[in-house]
Amino acid sequence: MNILTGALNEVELELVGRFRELFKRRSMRISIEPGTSLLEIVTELGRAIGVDLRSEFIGPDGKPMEESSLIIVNGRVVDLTRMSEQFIKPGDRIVLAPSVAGGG
Amino acid sequence: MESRLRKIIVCDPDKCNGCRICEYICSFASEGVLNIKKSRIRVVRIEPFLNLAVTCRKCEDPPCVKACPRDALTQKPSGIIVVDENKCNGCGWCVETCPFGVIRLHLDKRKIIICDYCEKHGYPRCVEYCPKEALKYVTLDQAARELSKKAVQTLMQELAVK
Amino acid sequence: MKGYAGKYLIIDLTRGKTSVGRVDESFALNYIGGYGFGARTLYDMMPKPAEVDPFSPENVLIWWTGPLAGTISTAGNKYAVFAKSPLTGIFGFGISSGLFASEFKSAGWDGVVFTGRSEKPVYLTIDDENIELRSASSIWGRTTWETEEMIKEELGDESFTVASIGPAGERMVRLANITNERNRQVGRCGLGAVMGSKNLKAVAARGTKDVEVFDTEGLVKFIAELNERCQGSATEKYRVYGTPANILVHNKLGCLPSYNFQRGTFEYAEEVSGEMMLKTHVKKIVACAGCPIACDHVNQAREDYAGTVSSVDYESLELLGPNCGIRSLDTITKAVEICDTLGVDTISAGNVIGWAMECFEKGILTKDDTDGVELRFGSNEALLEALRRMCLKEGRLGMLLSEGVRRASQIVGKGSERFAVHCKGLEWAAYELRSLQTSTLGFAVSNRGADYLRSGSYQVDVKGKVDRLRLDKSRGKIVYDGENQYAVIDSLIICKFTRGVFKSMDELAKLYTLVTGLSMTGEQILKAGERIHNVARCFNVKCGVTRKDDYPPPRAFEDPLPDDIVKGAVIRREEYDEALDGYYECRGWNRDGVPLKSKLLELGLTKEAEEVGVEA
Repeated sequence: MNILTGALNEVELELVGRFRELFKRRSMRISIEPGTSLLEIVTELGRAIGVDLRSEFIGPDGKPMEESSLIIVNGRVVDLTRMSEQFIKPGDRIVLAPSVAGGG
Repeated sequence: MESRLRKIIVCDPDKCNGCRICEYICSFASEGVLNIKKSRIRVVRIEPFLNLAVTCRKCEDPPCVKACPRDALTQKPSGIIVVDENKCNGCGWCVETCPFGVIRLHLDKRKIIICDYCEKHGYPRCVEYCPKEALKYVTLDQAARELSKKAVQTLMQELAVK
Repeated sequence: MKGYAGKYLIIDLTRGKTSVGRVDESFALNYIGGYGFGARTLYDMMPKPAEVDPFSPENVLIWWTGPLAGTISTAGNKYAVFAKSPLTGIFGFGISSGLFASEFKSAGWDGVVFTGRSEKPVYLTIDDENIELRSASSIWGRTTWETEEMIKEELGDESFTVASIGPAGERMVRLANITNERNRQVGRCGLGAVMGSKNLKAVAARGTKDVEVFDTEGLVKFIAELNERCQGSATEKYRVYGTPANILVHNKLGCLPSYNFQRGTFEYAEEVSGEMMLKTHVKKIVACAGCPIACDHVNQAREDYAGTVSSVDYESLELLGPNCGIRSLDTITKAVEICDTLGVDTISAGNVIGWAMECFEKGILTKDDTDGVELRFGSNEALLEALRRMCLKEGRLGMLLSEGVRRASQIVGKGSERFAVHCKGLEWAAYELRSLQTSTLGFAVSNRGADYLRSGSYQVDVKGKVDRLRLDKSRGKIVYDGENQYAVIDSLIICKFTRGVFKSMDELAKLYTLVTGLSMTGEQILKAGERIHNVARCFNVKCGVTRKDDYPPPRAFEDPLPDDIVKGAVIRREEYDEALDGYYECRGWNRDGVPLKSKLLELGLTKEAEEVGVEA
């Protein structure tokens, strides 16, 4: 996976809330090998910006951080307990966001 | 022996949001009850934006001590004002004299109450309970140093932007 | 028992007489406080609600705090108000926060019940034991913010807290709310209009007494831990961007209502996002009394509305913004100020104006009907003008909008009922109908009408636990569980933003016991939640609510969403029926939504079993 250059096999990454501050941008394109899991992408992205990005989604106890974070792939919300089973393909749109706040 | 640099409770107006948790915990720390009217620290909210908690500043040559006609108030070397409840008759001269308005008349006892910095506990409970760390227990010199730091940071950021 | 003051006021406004009621231990254990106390007392004091006109002296207006108010409990200074709602004609209820509940409890009262109607405008002062109805003739007509200042001045002490209605409540606008401390509202169900109908302008409270709790030491220790947790990741969203953080998240999910719920995304979402607002408009973040989180984002408008200041949360921002096609944070800040000062609910206001804009664009309403206002989506001037006229019931447009979306659409007709987005007469809040379907079920079955605050059922949709674009029978259980938990939260009363902070119902029960000294387990308190919900439902059944009222509006079934991410999303009627059946089954109600006798008896509700319950 090469997250620095835009090339073939591109995925669109959109950033909302504190993820905008972490990445210092609203969106970016990353290129991936087909069949990369979402968990791998998150881990790798974190490495590239020098942040433990995984810990934004998976707590120290191994539990998903559903009260604080949210990942959307092509409009579908990802069950954070299953990030390693969620495979990303070129053309996908990934959104990293804080979870929904409010009365709901 | 107290340090010549006295520590006081200061409040950062940028961080204080008027939640009054300091008032609730103060009534507990001072008297074991929950009643913000018995708090020794007072939260001031001036709509719409201003919020600040104020309490005894441990003034030098404190006007409250001077004002008391019954010599009920004395200042310890640490700066804490001590109230002699046998002498105080609740006349309230000190209340009017305090430039920060942080002296109160106790509602039941009708005697004066002033922040004692949780002397028995050893550390002000309001500072411990402040959820935003707006309250700090520091020397004035430390407080000033923090302000200098903040000013320098802002200045440098502005320069960097230019 | 501690925590409670143990007594409440009963005020006959017609005769100007005051008496005192007692809060005993069994009442406390069975109904906790807040929502529970309100459901119980409204049910008991209004035996035939179907016959009561909400604006008549026969309506009962009830205020309750809970056991936590006035203690140091985490985000626990809240009060709730109840009456038969003039907007929905059923169980009306709203909660507000701030210092008011703390002062009220500290004065030695758990609640106050108003009956009758005062001949002249009055306001009530509660000053420890001194209870007085004072003339409000000099403040009648004033905004809520002016009223607070004037009453404090008249009473000569700033430490009075004031909850009041504005000109909208006085004029009995059906969307009118009650405001305390400027930015905190009992927002929904038009309870401000009930105050207006009773000639009651405000309640001012000041207390000097200790609020006694059972284990002060233990409570203070537990609160330190809870408050610490409140600085963690679960509440970060509230602390930093506040609830407006939802704008972009919802937009990415296709669940951001825009143009009167015609769409689920908004092309200008970035311009009205929480991210943008924090950068350009938020001047200060403030907290309610006793809250370690602090979510209230106070905005200062610029340019045209320089000097305008208001507190903007997600629901207000969304409904007065994207739902009306508005993309200006300045306009939205001004719109919220109009609502807060004149005294109407921002959610209902943004919803009914969105509906009127759609009517105008479709030619159903003409300039003749709007007294010349070009009521188009995206028009800043039209939004503000419509709001002002609505609050003051000015002209044809103002009169129409002041009725709320259900009545307004019935008056206008011409198919406009089809896109009046409400349930049981309460305007839908800022959660899309078709792209969050568990949420939609939760809204539609709620006791208040389209209610975003009674079950948190949106959570499974936005956490990817279910297919949010479909429904099935299992969703009924999710809503049922959520409602029972929320009934506990709303009875204690504690802020919902502490949701991720309490680890279990047992912790809520522990808090209850530390404060009151009454033993309580997580299971027992949850049972109380179920009991409370059923009492309110029984009140509604008496008002005529049945299965037919537990459906979302036609738009949910008939207009598939056009937005890319959720294209074609729509609720399928047979799926909804199935989910509703699932919900009734969990509840122990029959297929018509009426509680079974056996269920009510199991919950100890013998009176309801006799009056409302049906055989299986």
